[in-house]
Amino acid sequence: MKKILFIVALILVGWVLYRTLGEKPKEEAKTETAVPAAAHPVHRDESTAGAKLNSVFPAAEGEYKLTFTQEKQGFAEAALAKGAAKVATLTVSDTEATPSARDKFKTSTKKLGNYPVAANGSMGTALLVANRYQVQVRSLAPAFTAEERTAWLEKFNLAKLAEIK
Amino acid sequence: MSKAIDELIDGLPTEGLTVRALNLLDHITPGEWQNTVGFDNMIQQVTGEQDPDMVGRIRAHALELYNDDSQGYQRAVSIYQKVDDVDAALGAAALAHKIGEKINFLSFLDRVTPRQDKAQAIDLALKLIAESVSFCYINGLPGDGIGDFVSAVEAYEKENLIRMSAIITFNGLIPLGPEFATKLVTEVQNLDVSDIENNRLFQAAKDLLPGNGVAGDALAFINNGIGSLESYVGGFADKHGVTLDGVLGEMKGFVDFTEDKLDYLAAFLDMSTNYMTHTGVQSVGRSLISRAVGEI
Repeated sequence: MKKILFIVALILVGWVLYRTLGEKPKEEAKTETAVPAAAHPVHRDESTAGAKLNSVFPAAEGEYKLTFTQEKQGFAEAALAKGAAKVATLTVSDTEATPSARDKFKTSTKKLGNYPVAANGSMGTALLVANRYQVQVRSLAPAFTAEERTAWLEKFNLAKLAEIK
Repeated sequence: MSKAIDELIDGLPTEGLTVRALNLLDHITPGEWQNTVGFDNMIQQVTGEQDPDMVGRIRAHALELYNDDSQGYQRAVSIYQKVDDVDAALGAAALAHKIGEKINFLSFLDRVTPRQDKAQAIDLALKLIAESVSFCYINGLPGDGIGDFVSAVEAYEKENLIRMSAIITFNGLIPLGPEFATKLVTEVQNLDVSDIENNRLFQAAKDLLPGNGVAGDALAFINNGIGSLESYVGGFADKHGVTLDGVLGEMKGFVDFTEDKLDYLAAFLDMSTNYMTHTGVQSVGRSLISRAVGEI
């Protein structure tokens, strides 16, 4: 019962928020900061809606549980837990907004199917689908190995992702 | 002009009343919250990356995302700040204190005005709404349906969970007592538009909350939202073992007060802490960094 009530509240909050989000920019203070100018153009508005990306995430089985944690334009993220412990973060991002993310795959010799695979830092393994979508699995602790990251990358519906325009 | 997210996280205090009050809650629900200070430090914690070049690239992209105001992160920070700023009257300087020192609460008594249950209930309601709205600005509506979205909120942990505990404890349990959830609903049901219009918290944050600044719309939203949230809010304290006695017992470690002055204590905490902003900035930083490393 509590859950149902909570769900009702959240539907309401979500709906009103979405209505509000679509309207007028407010005159809130713009942040000015010494961020280096972007090294690449940002085409975030043209990137794929996060909701479309959700559908290619793997199904969690057995002791694993997947919880979606973020959904933004061109980006979707889920947390992977084994039992009670979070072990990895799974993401899909549309590199239309961040083309420089593709660079690391240019020199990559490793492939998964037809998709180039590259390390992203010491804790992440990523692959590039259709020269556009970056799928990444990141360990939240070293115990979740690079092999496990690759195994979870394979569980995504990569063929379906390649078809998303 | 608002500050950039790295400045905000670099500037978070490691001591003071806010940190003390949040640590008190972490005592009650152990291990949930670490006071993560420093943007690079947070990047290392969230991503596990230590290499300066990698950390630098994550930082640059996180700042780029934050600076794009269409992404909602700045808006979430604004909501947290506005909700806190209303009560900053006592001023940080007057209350700066170090761990181990005890605040002589009675010396502030003449500067603290307790509020009636109705005003407390509106504050609690608005903080709960502010939290829900900020969550959406930070994380969108994750997943494919309401079930996924609820899972995301139920999976609240770390800064998010400690902030929810703080709202319920400092704005619910202490001023309104153990029956705060029932009182919240009763008070909210009897509100009229002028009650909302005159509320200082609504005045401060109305442009950032649902209803586009119209008190009548906001009231309808509050009525529906809070009616539905009653069980969640009431159950939260039980689920996490938060009791009034437990909180007051812990609090006596650093504030002198008497239990017949809990409404004063609640007002004092409102005036002397900025827990929404402190943990809100940490939540924004965590989500932002997690997204940035996913996108680079």
